[in-house]
Amino acid sequence: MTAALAAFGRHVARALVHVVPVLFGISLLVFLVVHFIPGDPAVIAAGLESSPEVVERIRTELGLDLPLQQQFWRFLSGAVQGDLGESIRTGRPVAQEIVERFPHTFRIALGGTLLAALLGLLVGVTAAVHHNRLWDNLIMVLTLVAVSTPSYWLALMLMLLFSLELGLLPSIGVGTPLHYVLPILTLGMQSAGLIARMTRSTMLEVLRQEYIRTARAKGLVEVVVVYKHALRNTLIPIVSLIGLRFGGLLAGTVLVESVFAIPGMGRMIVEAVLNRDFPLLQGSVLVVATVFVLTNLLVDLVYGVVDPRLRPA
Amino acid sequence: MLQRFRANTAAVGGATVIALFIAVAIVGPVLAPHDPLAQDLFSNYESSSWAHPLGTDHLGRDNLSRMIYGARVSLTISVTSVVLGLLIGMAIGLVAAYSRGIVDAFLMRVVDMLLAFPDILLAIAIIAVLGEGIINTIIAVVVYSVPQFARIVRGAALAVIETDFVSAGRALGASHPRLVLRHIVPNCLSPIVVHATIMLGTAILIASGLSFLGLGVQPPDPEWGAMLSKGRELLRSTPIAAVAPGVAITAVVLSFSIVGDGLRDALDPKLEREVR
Repeated sequence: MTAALAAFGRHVARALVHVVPVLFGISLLVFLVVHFIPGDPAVIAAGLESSPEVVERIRTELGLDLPLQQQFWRFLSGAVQGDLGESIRTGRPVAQEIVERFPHTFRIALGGTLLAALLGLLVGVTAAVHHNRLWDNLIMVLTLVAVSTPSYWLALMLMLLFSLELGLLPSIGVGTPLHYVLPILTLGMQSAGLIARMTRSTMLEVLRQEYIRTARAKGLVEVVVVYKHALRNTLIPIVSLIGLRFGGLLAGTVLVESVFAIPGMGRMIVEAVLNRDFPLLQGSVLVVATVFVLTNLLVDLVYGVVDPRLRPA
Repeated sequence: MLQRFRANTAAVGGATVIALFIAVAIVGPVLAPHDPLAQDLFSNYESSSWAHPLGTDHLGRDNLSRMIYGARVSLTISVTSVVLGLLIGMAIGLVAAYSRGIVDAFLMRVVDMLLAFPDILLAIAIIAVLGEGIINTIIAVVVYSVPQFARIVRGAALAVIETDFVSAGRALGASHPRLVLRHIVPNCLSPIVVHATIMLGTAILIASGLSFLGLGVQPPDPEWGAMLSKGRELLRSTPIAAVAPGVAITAVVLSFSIVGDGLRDALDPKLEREVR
């Protein structure tokens, strides 16, 4: 037990050694964004018609008058303590803006991930079981369409059908739980396609294994063979994909929130770019990327727990 | 290889759609019934008619003509950005795989960093720096694709470097460039070609997504994502204006994926049939 625990400890340590430089790197990149901009960032942030006094005030506020390494240190130590500066447009702390908007995004991304996982697994297993027959071919075509469809277009088509034609669901805004149905459906569809395709191919490999033949030879019902013996052994790579998708969907909300007018992080990022509100942009991009990296880390760790073969000896 | 590809009906279908798309992009001016930029404010927001099969937009421009010219814009962005992304990513991947050690570790950390920005986020950050427009959209897609190409090339190259013929070449005194360009690159081309094909579709998806948000191609240039964005205003009266660009994007992206898959099967006979 202690040996296993020590091995797991080493696994965690190794994962952290990998993650810390990446997190440091993304903070550096996000920080440098402002400095890559051609021209004077203070002028751009203040707006081209602003008076020199305003520009100087913004420059001091953003710390743009300090040496670069000092600026980065300020940015990094602030970020670690949850201080991401202030939005140029609203003047409010960026962290506060994010805290207010993140729940909307989180709900859609989580709902989308769950939907994608359930639908993807079910559809993928169905395709594998009916390998090379009508259902399989149909599912393969549909999943490929799902993967290739632009999310914002799917959003509009769902809106057209369910809100404008049938009048079943609200089209935009966030008032009620029903408002989340279409965004979640939109966001989940592409990932469902990916997960279904991966489930199918992993499942096909597993179904060819000896122990599946044994299970069938024992006279087990096909449902038990498929859903208990085979599915369990296909889950590991799929769980990892599902974890990865959550981070992807978090960023995917940029498009979906714009269509459904949801005041979440995604919409905020687009507004920040259009308004040249750099602190807001830096803060929100940093948060999304960090959540993405940490989700991947978590998936990595869960992997180690689920499959002992993956732990370093 | 070509035979195996031809036997794959889906892949041939996808290739046909792509050929059509390229043809429309090239001969667009001949096909388009109207000037895609010609405004006619007296006939804006028109629904489908013989004169304007897909209706007109908010400035009275012909949607069908804008779709046809949009193919050109999308194709230009997609091909340019994938070629550039491929070349830069390949250079990084080859240098990393060939030099190993600290150079490899450093380059791969940078790649990891870029891959840590999920989905369209990196492209948006690039636009935030450079501003909107066609050229900057291309740059954003290039930056999005470089780390992916670098990873794939590195992986493929590492496997090839270990083979006996590369060791033999080295033992015979082949120079580094010769080893890389004559022995390593030709033997890791198939995963690169497959990914590049799929990426041609992804590039269109990313670019049209940026344009939809108002961060990509700017008016008056016709672009499918931007047209969709305008089309949503008339979702109730002229749904075709929002439906058509979406169908076009989906069809093209789908075709590139199918052809990419088909190429994978054709280039790697070991994977053939059985696993498929």
